[in-house]
Amino acid sequence: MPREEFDKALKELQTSINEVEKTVKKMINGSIEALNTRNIDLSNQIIDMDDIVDKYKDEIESKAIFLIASEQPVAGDLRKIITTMRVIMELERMADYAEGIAKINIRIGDVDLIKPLIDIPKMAGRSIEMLSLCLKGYRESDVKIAEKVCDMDDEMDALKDRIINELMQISMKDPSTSRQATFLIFIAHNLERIADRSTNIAEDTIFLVTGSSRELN
Amino acid sequence: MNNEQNQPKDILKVKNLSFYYGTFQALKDISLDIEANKVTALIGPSGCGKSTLLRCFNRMNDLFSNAKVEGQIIFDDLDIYSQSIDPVLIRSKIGMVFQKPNPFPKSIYDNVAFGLRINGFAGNYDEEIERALVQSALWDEVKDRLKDNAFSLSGGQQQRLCIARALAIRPDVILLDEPTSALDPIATVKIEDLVNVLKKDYTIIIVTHNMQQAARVSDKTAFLLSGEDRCGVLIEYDYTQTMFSNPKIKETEDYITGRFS
Amino acid sequence: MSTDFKLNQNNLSRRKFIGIIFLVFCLLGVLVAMMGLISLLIQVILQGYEWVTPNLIFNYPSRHPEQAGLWPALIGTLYMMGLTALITVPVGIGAAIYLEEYAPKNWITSFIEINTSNLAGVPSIVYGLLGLSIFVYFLKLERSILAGSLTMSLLILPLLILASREAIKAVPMAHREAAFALGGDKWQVVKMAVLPTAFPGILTGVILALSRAIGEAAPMVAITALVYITFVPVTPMDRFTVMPIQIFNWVSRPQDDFRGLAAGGIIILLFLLLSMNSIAVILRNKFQKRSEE
Repeated sequence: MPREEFDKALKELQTSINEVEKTVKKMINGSIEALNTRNIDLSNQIIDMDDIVDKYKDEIESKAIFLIASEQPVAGDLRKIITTMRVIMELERMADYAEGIAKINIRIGDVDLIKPLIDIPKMAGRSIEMLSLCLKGYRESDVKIAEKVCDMDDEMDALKDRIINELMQISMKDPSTSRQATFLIFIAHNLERIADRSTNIAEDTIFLVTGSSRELN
Repeated sequence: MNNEQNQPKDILKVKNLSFYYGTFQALKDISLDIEANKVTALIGPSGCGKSTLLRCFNRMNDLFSNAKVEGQIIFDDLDIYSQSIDPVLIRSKIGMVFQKPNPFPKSIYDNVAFGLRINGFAGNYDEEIERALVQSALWDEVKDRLKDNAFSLSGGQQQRLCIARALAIRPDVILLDEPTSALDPIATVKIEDLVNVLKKDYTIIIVTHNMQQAARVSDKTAFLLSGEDRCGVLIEYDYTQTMFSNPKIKETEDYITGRFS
Repeated sequence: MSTDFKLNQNNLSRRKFIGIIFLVFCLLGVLVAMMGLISLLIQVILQGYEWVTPNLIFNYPSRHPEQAGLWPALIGTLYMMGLTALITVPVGIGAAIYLEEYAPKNWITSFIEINTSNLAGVPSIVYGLLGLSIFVYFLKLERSILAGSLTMSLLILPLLILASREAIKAVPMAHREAAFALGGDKWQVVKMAVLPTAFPGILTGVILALSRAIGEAAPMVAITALVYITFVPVTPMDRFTVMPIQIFNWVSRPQDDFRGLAAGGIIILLFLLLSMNSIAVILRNKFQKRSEE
């Protein structure tokens, strides 16, 4: 089989991406759980997990750069490697946002939540769905899935607006809640940014398949 | 207004060209247009007919007594294969540089002068020879030793000498048949840089095995392929940038990514 | 592991031994070949060296050995060679060029090729008889130097054609292609790209063919009929003799001194041959150096 070593290397890159996907999902879930249960230790664990993702990113990038230099890929191979590098960059930013949520949780402090969380966990769940879907589209080079991901982004925006409205009303009624409300707004913002990164991955998938970039949202 | 100037002009038009060595068909129904002042690369696996196609452009295949051509190659509004055209005339307008550098066993000066002498040039030899050597980026290295034997030059220099020899008679088109496959990497790069400069004044068609070279050096690329019948057909012909980032045909993609078995 | 190594060693010394035996055999072959040649040379030199005097070269033949000389035969040889060269060189080279560059590769050409090689192997006396009937009798050229040269030309022409063809064949196709690609027509390619490179080989062929001509006695015997010549030929129609014949003439005399003279004549003949071959080698080297520095 020609280029066996090269294909093997590409598969290894894919495996690493899969590992990062798992880690990022854990970080998103964990950061929201820590928020819900006021678990500062869990938040600290999430912060440490970001280092794992950073290490993966460095590894994947170095491997990809070396493959470009040594294998001189063209056409589909080249687009694959470039897309891989873009995808890991997006995943690393997602991990940063999840880490950010954990850090905000710590800053909120050892106090009770000003309201029970409903929409924030919903946003988190959606963002994880979008992450799974966009990476499935990337793995399977499926443009249709990529387009679907971009449609789901509208829902995230709507959720975020609702959360902001709600929290602003609460803090207007009770100014003492304004500090936590602001932090919660930041958290919603981070979750929306995570979803946005998924749409970036979807656009990267379209580039991978068609060779041309297309703005989808 | 200026659109006409920017309109790419095709200097060579291949129309339904089929080529036979006796009863064996080497090329089938090839049609493509070569743009003037551009570099066109012909790529494909061994035996696909790319060198045969190249040699059709200057009728070098005529040297084989059983060569037969169907179809046309239009150059300057004339079919170069029509009965009334003498191949000798074609070759002074369409020059060729070969895979292995083949300077004559004469001095550097006499090598470059050879084409001028053969074509009965009556002007200033020294001027033309200097011009040709300057254009092939060899002048500075040989200007003090024009009387030296051509074989005293390195491989890369010899190849540039062969290019100068071809340039001396001011052809319109230059055909390069794997010009760097016998050279080391440094000499290769020098010749690739040279090709980039030469295309301003000449049209260049280059056959190459080296995918990266085709991508680096050419503006358009034609991919030829032959099946079990060993008959070459044109699979894809497009701008190089498109061909190498997003080819339209699967065989092209398989070939340029090295996944042909 | 160590037994493998030992086996290898055994094999190695055996192989080396065989190699040495082979080398010895080859050397023996060379020695045997050289021996014949060297003993011949030594015998001739011993027999003839005291007879190599200016007399031998410049005098005319005489009944008295001390006064006998080769002059007419020497001039005859040189004259005949010159005339032969004039005839064979253009014809031979031309034929070689035609056969290699122009003739289509069909059965006729192959036929000619095979027969040229065959002709080179025909015994020279056959050429002598051929020359006798065509040139001396049919064309009524009498027993002239012209008839002799024409006959000799027939003899060495196949050799010259063969050698020239090889020289032309040896010119790499790349030279021709380059010349064609520059817009040359067939004749220009031959004249400007093929011949200059083939020249050293052709030159060598010419000189080797002529060296053969010097030594061939049989055809000249047929043409001259062994007439005793005591004058130097001036025009091509004059009668003549050549050195091998003069030497043969002396060998057949009863006096021992004439045999010494004959040996002296052989020495001079060999000297001529050696000079010609040396010139061939020098010229070839000179031209080859110019071709591939």
